[in-house]
Amino acid sequence: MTEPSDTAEELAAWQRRLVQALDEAAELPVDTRGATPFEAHAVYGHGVTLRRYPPPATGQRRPVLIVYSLVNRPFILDLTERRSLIRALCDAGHPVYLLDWGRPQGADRFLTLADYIDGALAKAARDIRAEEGGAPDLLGICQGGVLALCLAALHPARVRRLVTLATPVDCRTPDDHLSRMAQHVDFDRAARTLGNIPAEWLNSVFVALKPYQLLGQRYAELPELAGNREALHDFLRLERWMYDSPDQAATAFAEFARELYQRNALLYGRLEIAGQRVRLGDIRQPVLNVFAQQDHLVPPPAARALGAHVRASSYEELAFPGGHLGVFISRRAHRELIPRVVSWLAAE
Amino acid sequence: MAASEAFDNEWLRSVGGAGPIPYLWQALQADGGRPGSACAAAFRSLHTQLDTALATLRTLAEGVTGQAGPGEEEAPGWLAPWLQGLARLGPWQEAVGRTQDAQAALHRYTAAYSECATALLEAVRTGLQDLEAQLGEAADDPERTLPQSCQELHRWWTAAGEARHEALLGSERWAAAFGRLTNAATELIGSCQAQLDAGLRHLDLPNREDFIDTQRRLAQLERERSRDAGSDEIKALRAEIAHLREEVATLRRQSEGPESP
Repeated sequence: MTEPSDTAEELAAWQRRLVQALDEAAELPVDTRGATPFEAHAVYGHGVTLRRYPPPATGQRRPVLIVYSLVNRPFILDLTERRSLIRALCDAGHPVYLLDWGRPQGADRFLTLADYIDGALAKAARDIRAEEGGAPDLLGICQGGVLALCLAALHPARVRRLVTLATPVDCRTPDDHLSRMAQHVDFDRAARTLGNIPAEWLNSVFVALKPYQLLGQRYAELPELAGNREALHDFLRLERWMYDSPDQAATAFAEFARELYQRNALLYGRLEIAGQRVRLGDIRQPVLNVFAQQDHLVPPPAARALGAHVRASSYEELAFPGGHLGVFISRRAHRELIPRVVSWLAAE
Repeated sequence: MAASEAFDNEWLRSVGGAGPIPYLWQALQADGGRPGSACAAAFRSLHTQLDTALATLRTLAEGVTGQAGPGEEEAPGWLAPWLQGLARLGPWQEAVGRTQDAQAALHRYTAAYSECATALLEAVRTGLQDLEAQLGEAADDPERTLPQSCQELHRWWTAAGEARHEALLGSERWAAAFGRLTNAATELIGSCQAQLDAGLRHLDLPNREDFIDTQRRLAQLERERSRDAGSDEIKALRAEIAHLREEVATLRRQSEGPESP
């Protein structure tokens, strides 16, 4: 039996380690630009930049364009040299491009999904084709996967092949809590009233899906990292990424939430971008669809629905045992999953 | 800033010891590591605290369903129709209407907040019940081990609490309540904006509507410029194609040689 004094000492020791971990954390800078050097290849207005990560040797492989989500910053893909999807692609010889969506400012409240997809994304794919001599392979991640699917359906000549990572296609599956919470929200009114949707508001919603883990357990275990500089640094990078989100351009956000999460318009072919219907059946390019088996943001059935709707010349699925973020940052993903994605992209 | 500067150590110690899990852990230790009377009393105490919070929320919700809150005086019955008239007729109708809208929005927000907080607290309460039951089951099962540290107990609590929370998230009750809260918050913010906009207009100062109007014009200008750039690009491409066609025709003529007389 533990004496009450032992319990008090256990708590006091926990407190001391917490203070130590916080003090050590204060000394560790977090570079949100990521670990891999890049150059700004093109700028498409309203803060959207096309980054180019050159491969170590002259590009022997085809270019890859990464289409990341609008709701977070992309440095999760390049957290450290050891845990970098971007670095893995570069090392395999691909010239890697990434659309950095930037941070919407006041006047960007009127940006639509068409501005993102038919504007910046389509231009980026065109410019890469001009630069590299061939259409890029697209690697769409989470919401970015939806944008990539739209481009592949609307402008097939600009996309050679397509990889989707944790991408929602059927947004009304039974275990999709995020979708359920979105059903009764008047997004258009929110966009008109709030303007650009504050990142803090959106982050609160994401955290509210797993509050015990993200607000309790995560920090309760922080003291264990005291004295372990590398692990603490990794913790801090992830922490910064989680809350270093851009505000969302009001109109595009409302459009996405209403059309995807309330009307399930992508699945049913009712989504319109710049006056054109997006039909998943128009996607004929080879597709690799990667999803996480314990994903609470994009449940597996939400991602797997893609397979039944595209008419790709080849369609493959990869199920990864882990959560939403595990697909990009877990050691297991870098050991097992990312090499398979790289190998799929390398195949001619 | 060092952690000890942000919050002094004494404060950290007091907060760390005051949480529900350290409290339960202390009770579990007092019972000798197996749930007993101290543990049961600790769970009862936590349930009582939650019940008190839930009762407060119910009072709050009832307070906004048309009854005046404590300390507030209801308008006399004879005055109500006049106030309604002022909101619909006469020179002050807009101002009075805005105030009434703001009041109604505040009431709706308070009710929606209370509804959501009640649902969340009920989930916490059920999670605590589950934790208590799980500790009891583990104590009765010689194959299982009870938590050996406060952190381990915290992990048990995270699993039990999160499971109940997820069950709530998956319910239509929560979807509807969350929708009402978000929409009510939007409405409340909108009514505050309307009041502020009117005040700034009276002072001849730029207000939110003016800013949005300017932003809209900027966005339109950018779109037009982008369209023009696209159209210039197409014109240039057409000119280049025409030029290339001419070159091809010239080359073809040259390759065919001089025309025979």
